[in-house]
Amino acid sequence: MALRVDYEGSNDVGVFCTLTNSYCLVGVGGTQNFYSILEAELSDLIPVVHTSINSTRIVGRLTVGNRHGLLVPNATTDQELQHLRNSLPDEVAIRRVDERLSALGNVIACNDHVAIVHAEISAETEQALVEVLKVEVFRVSLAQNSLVGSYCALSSNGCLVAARTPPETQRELAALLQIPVVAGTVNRGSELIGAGMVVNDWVAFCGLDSTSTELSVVESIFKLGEQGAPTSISNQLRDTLIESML
Amino acid sequence: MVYTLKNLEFMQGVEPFRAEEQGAELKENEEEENQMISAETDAGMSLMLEWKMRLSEDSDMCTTCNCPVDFGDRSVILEHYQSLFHRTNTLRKAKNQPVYTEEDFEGTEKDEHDLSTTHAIIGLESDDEEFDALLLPANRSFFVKDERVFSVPRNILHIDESEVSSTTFLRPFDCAIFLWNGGHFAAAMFENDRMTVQKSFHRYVARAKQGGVQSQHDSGGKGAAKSAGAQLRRYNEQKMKEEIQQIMSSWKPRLQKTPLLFIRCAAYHRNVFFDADAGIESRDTRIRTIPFETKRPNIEEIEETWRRLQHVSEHGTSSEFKEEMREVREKRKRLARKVAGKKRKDGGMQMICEWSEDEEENGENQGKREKRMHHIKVRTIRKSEDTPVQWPQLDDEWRQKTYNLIRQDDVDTLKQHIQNLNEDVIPDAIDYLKTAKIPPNRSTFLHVSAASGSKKCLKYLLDDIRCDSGAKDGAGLPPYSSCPNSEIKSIFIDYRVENESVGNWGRTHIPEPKKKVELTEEQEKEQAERKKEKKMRQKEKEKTKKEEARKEAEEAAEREKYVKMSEREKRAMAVDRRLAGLPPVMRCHQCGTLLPPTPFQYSHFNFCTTSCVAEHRKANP
Repeated sequence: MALRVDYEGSNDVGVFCTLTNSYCLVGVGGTQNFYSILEAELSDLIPVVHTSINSTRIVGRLTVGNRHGLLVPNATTDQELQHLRNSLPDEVAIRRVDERLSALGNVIACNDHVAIVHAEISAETEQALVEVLKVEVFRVSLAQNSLVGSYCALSSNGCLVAARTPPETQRELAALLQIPVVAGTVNRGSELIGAGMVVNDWVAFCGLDSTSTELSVVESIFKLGEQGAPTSISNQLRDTLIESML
Repeated sequence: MVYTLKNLEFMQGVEPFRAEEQGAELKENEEEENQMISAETDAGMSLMLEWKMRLSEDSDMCTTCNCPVDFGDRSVILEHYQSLFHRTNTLRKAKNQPVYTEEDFEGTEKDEHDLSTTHAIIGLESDDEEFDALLLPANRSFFVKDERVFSVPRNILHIDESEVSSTTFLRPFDCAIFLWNGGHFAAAMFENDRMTVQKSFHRYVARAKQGGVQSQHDSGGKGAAKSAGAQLRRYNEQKMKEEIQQIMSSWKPRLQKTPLLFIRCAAYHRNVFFDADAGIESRDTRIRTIPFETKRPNIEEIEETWRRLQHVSEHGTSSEFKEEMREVREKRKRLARKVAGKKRKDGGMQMICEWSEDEEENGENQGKREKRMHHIKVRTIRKSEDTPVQWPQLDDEWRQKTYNLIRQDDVDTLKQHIQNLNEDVIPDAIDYLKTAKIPPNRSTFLHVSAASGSKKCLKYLLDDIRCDSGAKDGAGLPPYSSCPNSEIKSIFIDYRVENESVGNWGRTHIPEPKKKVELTEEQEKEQAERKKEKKMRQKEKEKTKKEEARKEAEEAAEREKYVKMSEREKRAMAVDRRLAGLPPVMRCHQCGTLLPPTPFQYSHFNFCTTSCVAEHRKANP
């Protein structure tokens, strides 16, 4: 299921939130609506942790994580680290990495098995990715966009990349990640996929401006909801129609 | 002869200039390829066909390296994407450099691509290839016409052009030019080779004789100046910005059409142009700098700038020009190598040479050849690996202990520490103390002892070990420069006094000792007297101070007493004093301080200040 949410009026929910299959980090702020939607959807399955990283709320851009672990930048304070350690499940490993490109969420995109990273990431960070997140690491760039984390979102089921990514790069990515890759947009045409949405294996949150077309692309590529059955398709069409009439 | 963009001869047949080797090779390659195809050898044909088919059918390739990768086999994928080849190429692609092909990559040295020190290599490449690319000055665009080489400033090319073509000369040279320096501003727009709008004005904003505009001074740490002149200049600066923005917005339609914007102003002023409502952003690709000096902004200077931008410089025939280029390149390489070699000998340093080229046009009158000036900037970079062990008999533990002892200034233990060694190792140890360079800064033990203020050790090292006080550390400074205080410095100075005759003291930075002047008896007496006088004066001063304090205390007590007295008592006291023939009490009725010569009065009350009057009125309405 893909939902529309906004964070204090901003569509870029991926900036303020990190979502994985075993936990969810949200930046501390004054947006009760955002929290309640996330918590209603997630809190009976995984912990939703309110935190700041380096005293900022852009946790989605600064951290990267999956089911196995979480990497935070070196500027994370000890208090924040302690809070994260206390709130996350015990099997999730946390590591602070000393990376020059400290917005880890912008330079790394990963699911539970594979990570694609920016070309200039240090060898130590790559090592940390392998050890903590237990992923295979590929250094690639999405055509002209070298910030892979900002321009793509991936889960174990699929990968959504920026609309202008050329087909050969998409093919390459599909081969590396072993999941279907599709080009698209979120938030009414934004190419910043990673910043505009968060996704895990069963739910996705997009910005409030996302069109229903964009949402249906998200739902189909990430295999959210019961897409397979023909009845559900018509149901969905009907829902969309009704929604547009409201 | 002076060439400009308007010369008729450039109207056609203009080609961008290319370095000859590349072009020739390209042609050869093409010919070879043609031959291959025309030969129609079965093997070649089938290979090509296979290649083509692979590309078109499944096109499994790494988009970074442009090489085929079999996506069907996971291990192949992993192997390729973890390879040094791929990682080097991703880095090069990120830096907008051409990626290596597999053959190229194998040809280059491995250590050049060492990714473990990725950040250290950034900006450190010095291949021949780089030399080639930098050969032509990047700020000029070269072209060939009738076997002769010319160049124009690259700044005058439009956004969509990468090289000069005939269209460059066919179109009118339209642009907007803004010159702004201090309080002088001039702007004009050229359309169809004529100045269509222009504006220039001056305002008083620059601080006379001090230099700089007022806002720069205000933000310079001392805070805003409060003088009338400063206010005036501040106001004028504000007005000036507004005026400029007004001009820009009135020119908006023209500005949006113009293909080039030349802006010359201070960096802190640039935003004024972008804040104006003229549709120009800071990222606007039409914005150019002016590649030469301009004089005081006025309309004449704008016209001159416009003319000068259109100059085309000539570089002689293409063969001559190429010859010259080659010479310059050789010279540069030689120079770079020389400097590198020299420094390497100097002590395990690795060199990087960056060179930049300044071209100076030699006036329009000559218009023949350009003078070239070469600057070699030299930076040193630490080599990562350690210097080879020079003193094999001294183990690490011993070295560590020596270092610690010197830092702790434990000279006796240090002596013992050296004596404990074997007889034949001692000279080695002394040599070690003399010459060892300690890692972080390549400092000698003298540097260490001076910096840590180990006086005894310093003396021991200088007098007994006779370390070289002129040895330089990594920053090129002798030990004297690392002294934290004058006490340590005096040790060095004493050392110089003792060994004045030995060696060259200039390189040690130790100053000459001050000569003590012998005083005659009379002078001494005088000095003593002066001292005495000074003491007396000081004593007197103290005395008067004490006296004053006492008086003040008395006065305070009196005052308090007076304030505490009731109205009745006060009156009684006044009467008593009058009867006794004493002068009346001159105190403020409210606060009790002594009254000024003309007190504030109402009815029979006297006050020192109006506030006291008001208070008294308030208390007794």
